[in-house]
Amino acid sequence: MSADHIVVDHVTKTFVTKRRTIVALDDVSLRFESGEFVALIGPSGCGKSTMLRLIADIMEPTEGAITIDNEPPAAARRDHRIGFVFQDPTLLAWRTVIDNVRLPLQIAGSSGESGRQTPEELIELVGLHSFANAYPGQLSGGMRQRVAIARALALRPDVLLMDEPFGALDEITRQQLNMELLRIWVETRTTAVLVTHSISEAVLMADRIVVLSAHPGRVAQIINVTLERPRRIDQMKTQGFFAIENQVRDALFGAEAAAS
Amino acid sequence: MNSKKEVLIRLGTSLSGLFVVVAVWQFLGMRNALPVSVASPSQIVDEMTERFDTLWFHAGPTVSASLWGFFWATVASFVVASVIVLVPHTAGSLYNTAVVASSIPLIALTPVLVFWFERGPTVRIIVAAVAGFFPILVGCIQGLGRADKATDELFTQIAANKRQRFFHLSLPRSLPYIFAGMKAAAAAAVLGAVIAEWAGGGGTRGLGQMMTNALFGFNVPLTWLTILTTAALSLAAYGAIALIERLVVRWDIDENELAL
Repeated sequence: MSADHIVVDHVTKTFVTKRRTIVALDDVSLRFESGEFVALIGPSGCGKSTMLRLIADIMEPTEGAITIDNEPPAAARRDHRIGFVFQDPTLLAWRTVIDNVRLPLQIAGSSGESGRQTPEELIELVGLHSFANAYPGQLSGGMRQRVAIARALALRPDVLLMDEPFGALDEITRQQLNMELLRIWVETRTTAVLVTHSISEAVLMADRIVVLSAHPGRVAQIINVTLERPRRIDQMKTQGFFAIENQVRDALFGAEAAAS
Repeated sequence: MNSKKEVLIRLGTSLSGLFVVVAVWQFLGMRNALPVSVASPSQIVDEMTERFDTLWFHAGPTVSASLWGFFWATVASFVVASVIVLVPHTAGSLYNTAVVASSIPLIALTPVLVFWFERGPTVRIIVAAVAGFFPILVGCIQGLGRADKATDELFTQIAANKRQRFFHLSLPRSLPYIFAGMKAAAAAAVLGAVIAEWAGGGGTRGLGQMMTNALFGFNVPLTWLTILTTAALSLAAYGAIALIERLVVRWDIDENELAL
């Protein structure tokens, strides 16, 4: 499959505050193929989180258009075809793990269609089967983020958007979850977009890395990651991995130097 | 979560503390070191065994008025809170009215109500309800008025409608606040009923009536018996709501406000 799944066409997003107008994204065009894993990376203020929210229809672009399967993102959101993992797990404290994963199903008013994984299976998938009836307050940060991933997958979305989901976690937990996420992505075959500020995470996970520059947010460079799949942690020690990391680094710091 | 052992230790310390206070109080009474206006514990107990029927006769209407008052306070504050939540721009004026209403001294309100409704249960119930109304309203407003960007975005993302947002997010999130208000209100309703009786709003029965009778008959032990009974009822009302809260709010309240 190589059909364009998500198309971002000349999108500009400005935020108007009392004092000034901030251009978060300036005339950005991107294409995401079906089943592809793309990482968005860039300095703070490059609009990477904004881009994710525009695709998710949490915000609307000021100019330009976004389509998912040739429809506006609002349609995809209302049909529950988008899964979103926030920076904070945003679990509901009064719901147990299993009930947090069930939330999207309850909101969509559907109780398990054929081919969709049940909340129990999703909890198994993220390795939390023995914590199904625990409350979020009893879990560690990494476990909470796993619940958030299971919840994002509850309605079997075609698009999985992740906004620095592992940013608050320690390196060890983070790499564990990275590998788990890749396994889940292979199993579910969604189009995945990951916003990250970690170069190694972007190289480890993605097929393509979109490097953004800041003030205003623009695409600086798109880098293809040619490492073989399935990805393994030990690939991180190879020359090939370093070479791509350095390519991203050049794109990032070259872009920053040009901007200032 | 508290372990059983911790609960027992806490219970033990508070009981032994109470025992020490009562023992010192009794000791001072036996040495005639108490002021004439203070009865010793044994005198109060004697009074209770002697006049148990009278106490029962007067406590019944007070309990019933407190319960009905609390019930109507809950209904009224929920209605007002719903109006504030559902109808925009009503918050300010309704809240201000409630503040003014709650600052009317109950002891001054009672004669006015007697003028309209005559002495009897109605006046007691209304005063108890007025006493309980404001704490519950404050709890509702505090709880329902809370918003945090992360969970709001989550509910937008999963395409929840207004009703779902209320029942799955706003209401459960505000339960700890509503319960805090209801606990305070339950205790206040008992005191409200007693004040109404004290101010002559209750007719011939009621703990407040019994208190005035004892006071003006210079019966110090009987006065203290009515004071302690009122305090015990007030505490029991608080405890009853706290018990219900424990059954309903099973999650860690401290975590309620965090984006887990």
